[in-house]
Amino acid sequence: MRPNGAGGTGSPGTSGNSGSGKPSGSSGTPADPDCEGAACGTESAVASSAFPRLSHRQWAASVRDLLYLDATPDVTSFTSDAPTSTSFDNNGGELSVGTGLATDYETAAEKHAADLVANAARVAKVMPANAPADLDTLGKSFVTTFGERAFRRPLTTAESDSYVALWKQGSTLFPGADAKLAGVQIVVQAMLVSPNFEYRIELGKGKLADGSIDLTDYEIATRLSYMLWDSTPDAALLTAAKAGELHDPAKLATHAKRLLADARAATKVEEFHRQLLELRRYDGLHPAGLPDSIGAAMRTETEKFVHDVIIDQNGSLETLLTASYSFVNKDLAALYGVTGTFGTDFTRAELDPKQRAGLLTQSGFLAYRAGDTAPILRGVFVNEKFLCAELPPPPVFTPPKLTGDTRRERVNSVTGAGTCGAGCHATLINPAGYPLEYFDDSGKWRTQDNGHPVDGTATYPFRAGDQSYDGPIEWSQAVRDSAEAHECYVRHWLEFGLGRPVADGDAPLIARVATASRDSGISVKDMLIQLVQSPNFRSRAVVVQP
Amino acid sequence: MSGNDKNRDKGLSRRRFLRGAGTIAVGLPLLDIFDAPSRARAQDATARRFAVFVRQGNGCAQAGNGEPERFWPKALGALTTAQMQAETDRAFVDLASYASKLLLVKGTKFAFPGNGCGHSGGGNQVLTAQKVSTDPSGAKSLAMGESVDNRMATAINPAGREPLTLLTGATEGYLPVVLSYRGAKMLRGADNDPFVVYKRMTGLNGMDDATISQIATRRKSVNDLIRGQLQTFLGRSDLSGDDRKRLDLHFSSIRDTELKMGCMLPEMRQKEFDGVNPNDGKSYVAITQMHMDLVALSFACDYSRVATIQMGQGNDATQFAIPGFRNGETLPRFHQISHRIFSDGSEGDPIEGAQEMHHEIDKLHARLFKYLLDKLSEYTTPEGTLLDAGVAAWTNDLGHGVSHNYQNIPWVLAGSCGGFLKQGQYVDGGNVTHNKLFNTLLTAVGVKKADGSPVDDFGDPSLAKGLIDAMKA
Repeated sequence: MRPNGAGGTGSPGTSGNSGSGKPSGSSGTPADPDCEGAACGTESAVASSAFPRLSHRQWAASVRDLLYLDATPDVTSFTSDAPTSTSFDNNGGELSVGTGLATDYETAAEKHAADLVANAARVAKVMPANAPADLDTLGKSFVTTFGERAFRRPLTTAESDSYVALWKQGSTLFPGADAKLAGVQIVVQAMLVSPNFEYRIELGKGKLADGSIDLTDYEIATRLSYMLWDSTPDAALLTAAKAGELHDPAKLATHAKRLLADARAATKVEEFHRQLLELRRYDGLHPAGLPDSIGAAMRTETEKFVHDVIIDQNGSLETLLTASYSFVNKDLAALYGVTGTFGTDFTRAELDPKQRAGLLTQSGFLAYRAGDTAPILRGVFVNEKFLCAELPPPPVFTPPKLTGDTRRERVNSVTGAGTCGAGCHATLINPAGYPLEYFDDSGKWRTQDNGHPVDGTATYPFRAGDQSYDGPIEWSQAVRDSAEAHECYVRHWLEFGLGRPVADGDAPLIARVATASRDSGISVKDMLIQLVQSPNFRSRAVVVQP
Repeated sequence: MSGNDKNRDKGLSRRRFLRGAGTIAVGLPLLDIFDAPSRARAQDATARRFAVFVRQGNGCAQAGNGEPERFWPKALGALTTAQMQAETDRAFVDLASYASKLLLVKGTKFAFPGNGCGHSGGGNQVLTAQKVSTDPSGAKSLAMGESVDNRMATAINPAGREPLTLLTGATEGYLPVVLSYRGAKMLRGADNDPFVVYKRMTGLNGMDDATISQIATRRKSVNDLIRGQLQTFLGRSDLSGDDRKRLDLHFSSIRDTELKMGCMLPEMRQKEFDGVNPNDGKSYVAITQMHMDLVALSFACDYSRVATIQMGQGNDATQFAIPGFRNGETLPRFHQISHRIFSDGSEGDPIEGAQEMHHEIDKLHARLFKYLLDKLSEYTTPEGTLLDAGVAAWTNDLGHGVSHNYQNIPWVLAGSCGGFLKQGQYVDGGNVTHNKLFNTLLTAVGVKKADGSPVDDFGDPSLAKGLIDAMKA
């Protein structure tokens, strides 16, 4: 058993794919003479839904930007989506609208339309420039301009006619209201509950040579803004789409850079890590001897850290895995043994570089995976979330007896070499957890376990060969040096960015960008810019189903 | 006069008031007053029936793997309060006061093997009686058909509303949501924040009827447009099967008259709802009880007549602290207790007294079930209390704790559905697949096949048909 990855003969794991579609299209041809393995190929179009639904967060951000709200609307009351086959909430092809959510949409659309017309300043913003005075002409103009923003494309004549007809009913539907405002209100309400708003529709403009769907420029603009902002395209992107510029990778890169400089990209980056690392779960943590607020503090720490590295420092995955600084409040400073004066606010602090190196050594990750099985819990998480190793479920239970004084000895006595747990545990799981034995159940550094010196040595079977290390710093370095970690991180970004599971056709792209991350240390932002320049960003294969 | 007009004649102010125990007075909502006659349902003429399924994870502490029986009562037959109180080594001491309303059913099993993950396969089957998917497999496996709550809701819920789907536990992690399915591989999301659900249920509270009428008129205009757009998409020849299924669901989910519930919880209780953190395992009992309040309110106010409460994640790792047991100390993770070892895998140090802990956790869930029965008994309908008019079920997606098998699944039922189900009895289903239990419950709440005959074929088509006669009064 080997960790799964994009390199070698392999493809990125598709275990997360529900199997709903088969990629079509041809395999790639060598592109770069200096490349290795999968990176030499060219990606092929990947099948995905033509009607991916917006996630709740995307819906909220889109409404915010569409209606010029100061704050993102609270949609926590929206009916929860079931988990999908990816690690993220935005796997649109698997998100649906049942009666609960249909009603939530309806109620929210009514509220936002009503709030809008009650605010003259915002009404002015949604109105077309040089708004005509005549009510019917104004209606047509409003439907055209607002409709293009809401649907992220120009309306067809038939669509426009149907909304103009609704505009004309405004005064009847809102008795006593100003006719213009009534028109605005009913059209906005209707567009917010339209499938053209609720889904990122990708019907394309024709077929490419390999049979895949060639997306329209408007659909590409939409992909780009949801990839980097989780929100609707802005005016500049819609203008570029109208001008037909977005099939040009260079122009896409320019827009990507522009979008990445916006605060919405920071929100996206934080949310990516919040979901990937399951940070929200820290809120329920109660490590012994620490205040109840520590879980939330641990979440905040990691959120601030990833924001600083990626957004403020334009840093790379290497920094995420190796930085010896973090953000702490008073309670976390005590946990990390940082001296100085700290309060309830979070400030940047230099941690002991012999103890701490990036995400794998942060307190929340460690404290959330505590107890007698901590090496297993931590090891599984590193394998799955950082290395994209596929682990089969545990075998059927047979009660064994653990022996040994230290946690490592006890875990090893039943999962180490020569035991029935050797297959996965001794090979992949334990080696990813044992170097973190220097951390106790609350994530504090320790050198002794039950009166014995901690043993943090292990060997992990990376694709490039077995790698041995001692303790968390060397382990983080080994992860940083591996192709697997970079492929895994890119793979997750592709999943979250495009809102679909990755598939075989993505393998060359993942391998190429991962190589640039590992060997050239490109920043996470540059990683995203490379992803949007892929031909796969401008097309999708047809889902073939029996 | 159409059915629609008939309803309208009864007037917008036709709100039935129910009196709950104590001071809770609730107004029944307007039922489908603007609804198209085509959506009228066969069950309208019959008494309102209710069903709630509460699911515990990790199996129960019943006999097996060399361990003695700590769950089921000692003898089949009549249940009495005195006898249940006397059986202190079994799970039902705290449910003894409901002896005359209980129906315990042993001898049912899941028909199909899991697919790499026992918990996932159990969660897939427990309310569906369907096969476990081969793709995806393992912890990602899904059920190959709808769940019983979905079937019931489709038939008996007002305006085709979806079943209330609640979860005690975090919505992220390993196997977070497992119970309710709209159809094959169509897992329904579950809500874990009772205050959020409450707010959603009571969204339009306080509006007068004229306002509500205007809202409904506007929705009709807007939704006619939306239906047309969805129909255009559904008419495309290049739609994938999955996209078609999802757009079909959307089309059939559009509501012109979803007017929310007209009743509320006492203000003090609302504040408690507002104060809990649904991701905090320490709030397990409090949140489960709030979910139970919501279920009773939902039934009383006709928001949804069908509900599920998934207590704990797929392999529930909650660390319980049970008052009166080991001085209320925090116990190891429940999943590890169920395996009797300090591990979520197959190997680990033994947990001393783990079966006793599991038994106490079963009893804790019995007390939670009693809380639900108390709530359902507080509201009276023309058909009796909610409990008498419906059925509440406490079950598990595994049979035995240690082996995590699919045999002898716990089914603790309460309420007779207006006299259809046997009461005060512990019966043996006869080692049958549990689709037959669902056939019995579907019939009890008034669901019928298209030809009007009782449902005898719920679940995978390969399963033996029929009801469990021992459950019928």
